[in-house]
Amino acid sequence: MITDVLIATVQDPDAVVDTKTKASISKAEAETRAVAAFEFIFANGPKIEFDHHLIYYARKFITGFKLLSLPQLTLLETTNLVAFRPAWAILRKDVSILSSFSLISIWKSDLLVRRADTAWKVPFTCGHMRKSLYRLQCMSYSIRPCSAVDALNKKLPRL
Amino acid sequence: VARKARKYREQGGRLALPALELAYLFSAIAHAPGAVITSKMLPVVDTLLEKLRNHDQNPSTYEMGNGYWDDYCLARFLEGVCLRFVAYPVSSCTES
Repeated sequence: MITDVLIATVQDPDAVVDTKTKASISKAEAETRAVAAFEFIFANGPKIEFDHHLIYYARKFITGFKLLSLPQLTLLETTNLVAFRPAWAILRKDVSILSSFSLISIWKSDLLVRRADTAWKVPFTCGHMRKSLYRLQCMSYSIRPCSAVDALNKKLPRL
Repeated sequence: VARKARKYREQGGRLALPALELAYLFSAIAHAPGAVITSKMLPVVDTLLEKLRNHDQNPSTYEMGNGYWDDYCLARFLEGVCLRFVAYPVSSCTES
């Protein structure tokens, strides 16, 4: 499942890398800052009043355009970031990073605040929200093994 | 569009980083060279983050008390996305 997300989002066979210009930030610094930025969202996501619900496009996993909340998108982008790392890094470091995210607790607290598209208080027993909770649980449980498997299959480049 | 329009209205005619959000939506960040990301996109994010940090002690003073954490999380998200593509450009995954 998550493998499909990775394939659908990170591969672009038509992309051309600009080798003439170089970014002013090193790869290591950019990666560290990116992880810190994503961790900030996982930590402070429940404080969002009205979620942005950005539109996300994937070809396989969710088939077309889909509105995703910011924590969901952050989860996907974190997965994409992790997927580029070499195998040893994923196994040693990223698994612990991903497991440290309290995604499910964030999602539960989000349910108790309010739905972003209605501004109404939503009971925790609301059916479709429980479905979303289940979906996120599945995603969070699937990411770690899938990331490791992807890395071990050496589909992704080493640093 | 309706959600974003409502957010625009509720925040008193203001949105945080709308151009960069659209750039993310249309994969413009993913396809931008690293130098463009660091020189054009990240400074815009950093400007907003600096403004947000100035209201760190009292978020209610930020934009009439509207959307401090919403904007903060969006800014950090776009910062993370920009830096992700700086660290690992999209097409690099096709290299072997």
